[in-house]
Amino acid sequence: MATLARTLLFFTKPRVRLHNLLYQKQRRCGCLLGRHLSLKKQSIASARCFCSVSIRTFHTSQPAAGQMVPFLLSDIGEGIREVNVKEWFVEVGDKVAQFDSICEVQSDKASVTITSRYDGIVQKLYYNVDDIALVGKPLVDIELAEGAKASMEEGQIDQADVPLSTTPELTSAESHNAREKTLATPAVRRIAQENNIRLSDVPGTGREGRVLKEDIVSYLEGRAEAVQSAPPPEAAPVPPKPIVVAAPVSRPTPVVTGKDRTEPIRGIRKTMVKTMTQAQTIPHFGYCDEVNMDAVIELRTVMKTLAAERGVKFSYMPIFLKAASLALLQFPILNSSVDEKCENITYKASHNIGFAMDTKDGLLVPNVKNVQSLSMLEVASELSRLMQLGSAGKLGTHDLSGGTFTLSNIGTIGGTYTKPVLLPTEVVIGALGKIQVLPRFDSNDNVYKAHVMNISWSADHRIIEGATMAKFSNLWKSYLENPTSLILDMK
Amino acid sequence: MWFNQVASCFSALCANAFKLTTMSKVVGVVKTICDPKHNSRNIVFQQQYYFSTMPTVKKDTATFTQTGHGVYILTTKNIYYNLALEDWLYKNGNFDNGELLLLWRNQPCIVIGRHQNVWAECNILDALRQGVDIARRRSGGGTVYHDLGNLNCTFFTSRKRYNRKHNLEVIAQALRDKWKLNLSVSKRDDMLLDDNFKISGTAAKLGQNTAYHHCTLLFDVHVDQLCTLLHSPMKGLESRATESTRSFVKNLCEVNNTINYTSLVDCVISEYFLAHHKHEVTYVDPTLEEQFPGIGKLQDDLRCWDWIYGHSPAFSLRYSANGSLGGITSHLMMHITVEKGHIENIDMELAGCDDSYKELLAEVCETLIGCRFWPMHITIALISMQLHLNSPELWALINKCFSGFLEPNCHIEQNIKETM
Repeated sequence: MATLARTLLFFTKPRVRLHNLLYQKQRRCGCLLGRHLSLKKQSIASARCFCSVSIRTFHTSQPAAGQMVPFLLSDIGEGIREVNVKEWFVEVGDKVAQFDSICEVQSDKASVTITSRYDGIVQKLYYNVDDIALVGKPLVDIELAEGAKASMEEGQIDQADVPLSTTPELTSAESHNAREKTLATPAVRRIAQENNIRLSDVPGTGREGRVLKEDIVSYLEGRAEAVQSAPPPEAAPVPPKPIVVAAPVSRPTPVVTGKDRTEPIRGIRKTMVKTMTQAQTIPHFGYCDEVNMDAVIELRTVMKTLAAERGVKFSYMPIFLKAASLALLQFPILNSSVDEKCENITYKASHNIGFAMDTKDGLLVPNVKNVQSLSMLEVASELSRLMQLGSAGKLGTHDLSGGTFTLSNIGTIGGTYTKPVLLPTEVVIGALGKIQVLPRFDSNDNVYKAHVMNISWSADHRIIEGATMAKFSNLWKSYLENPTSLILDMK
Repeated sequence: MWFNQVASCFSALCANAFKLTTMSKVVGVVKTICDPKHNSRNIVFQQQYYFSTMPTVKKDTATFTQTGHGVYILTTKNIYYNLALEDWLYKNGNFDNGELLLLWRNQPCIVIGRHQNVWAECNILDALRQGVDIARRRSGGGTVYHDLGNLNCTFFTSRKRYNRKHNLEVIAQALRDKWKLNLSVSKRDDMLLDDNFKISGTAAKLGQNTAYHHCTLLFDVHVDQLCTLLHSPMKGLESRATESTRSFVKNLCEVNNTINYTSLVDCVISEYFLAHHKHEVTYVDPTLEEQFPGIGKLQDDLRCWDWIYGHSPAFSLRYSANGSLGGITSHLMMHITVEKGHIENIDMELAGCDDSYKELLAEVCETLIGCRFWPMHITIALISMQLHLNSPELWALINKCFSGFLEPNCHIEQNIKETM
């Protein structure tokens, strides 16, 4: 084996020989004699040292795994000696890969992202936010991972030397891997050299076309296959470069899997916790029904065009709200409020009908005031005004408080029957399911295609009886199934 | 002189005609012969502007390589999309062999630096009421006000070739040559007119391989609007965020009324091309997802509340007000600590009233902790307590304490939209 190695050494170029000699020598023994002799470029025989003890070497440009390495703050440029640490992207114990962002520093109007040179685990942060960090001093301590890759200084210098007007050309036909402009770490170069591969032949899949160990392995497998099957040698397939996919607008944020994450409940969600806990003390009962929407769909199509002429957006909600308000006139107890101890009931004069809005901030329930005295067009314009304010986060107290009745159109997202939860101080809530096309029987016992929507009511059973709820629901349903009766009773 | 105007009209016409959303290759050539009187070098030079389409970005890669010097004029006036394009080029661009100059302007908006506190830098509620967008850019520096009378220039280079002073000198020299202005570049990289008035502010972002430097150029901005909006009404605000340095500003059009958007853009481009011997101006629409894959997401990130407001470093505020509670004049003091845009801690002290309110105050504090520091959210939290029903006097006093913060009273008549 040693003879073979020596023979190989003999037939390679002098520079390679020296490099390999250095390398081999250090693997066997790191004693000063060997290195000193090698530096003087003596022949192989005389450069051999006589130490037989194998000592593990310490090589500054190739840190070993498990070692704690201080990552120094590199020179920012422009003679800047100190910067302000503004943001940390990592914490102690986080795993970082080479080129991951570590922190953001600011110096004199320039915001600089500092990226990691090593793969490993962060063990110590030397500064807090708003501290002043010094250039050349340690920023973080990183415990190197196995097979840790350090960034190639060589590669960076190559890039800097390229002048603006010329395009970089790879130096050709040199077998010495260290001189090629292909970016790769020393470990990868060694593997390539051992297998007599030119790095320029291997397509790199790492950052900026870096050649990784996996690339060499797949290149070797490809070569072996080509030799076996003996078709004309194919060029190694171009590896897919990282694709940035434009995310569709409605895709939910992907949740990080594989690691639990705890955070305090804040914002609107915290308010929801409080409200729903309070609602739990109220005994609910549910009442569900099915509404034939054929007539409403026809009506809405006509109304939508008319409203558009006046610059108002018209959905199904104005029809639902107005029908509910008319029905409430017959059943005022459903528009009431009880005090905390349920000793007094207040019949509210105005129908302030709230509607649920799902925003990125959370669930909002603004309400339309005095629906009983508004026309359907006015209801529609109020609805769009509130929805715009809600999505922009600008709703005020007046719009958010004082609601007496709530409708939730969860059907726009999906669902059929639901079990909505009351908003405290109100006594009824209705949740509308989606409009489905289902087979139904008409008056002549023929099956026809009907548009059907489900409605689920929840009411406070301390005040409201099932019969009251059922009668109200029937009245509301009849207004929707026969819109002409809606017009008849309209005030 | 008249030929100049005709030529610039024609070039503007061509530009509008060739403003492309399709991928077809169109080349138009316009010759502009500059009048030697306006040129201190006393030579007549011909510039040929080629109006072309964007270089095609390959769909399977998201990287974009710039070769040589190019100028992009952005066609949208939406601050979020323009900042998103800067972000996209920063993340996906390779500037080892090229440099890029972006010229853009926006509808009225306030742009704050990456590490600044929004509440301390501008009047948020007034801005929202007037429909002025608020955005946080990714580079550092201070707060600026943009409107159509402000031209933004962004210089994209590789990290090695990043040089702010050089970029500013290019612009300053262009302006000096054309209009004989007394311009100087200060140590803080501000461009000063007559050594007194700031006409340009600078900020930069440096990454591993790419860097960009952008600066403003005030030529016809509404200075009153600038002054009122960039003044924060919040008193007693303590924060360790980067603070803006206030300076006197002046519009270039006040010095020379021929300075407008078209002449300024022409001037800057001609100086840039003179130095770099290349003449390609491209009109770019940042909203096109097929040309810039992923830009929609970048734009959403820049628009989200957590970035604009939530990214402010931690700060604390003190509010106080007098009011009547149960017939007794009381004094309410609040000390609020806000972190990541949410109320981290709130202390309320009520002086001069009986103890019955102490428990209620404690409940209010407990409800508000964790609440987002935003009028609507604080309102929702207080409504959930039924405070306006149970104790309307305390509710009024708290409102008064926040001095109008809780009732922005802004009704939007129309959507915030981008106008071309």
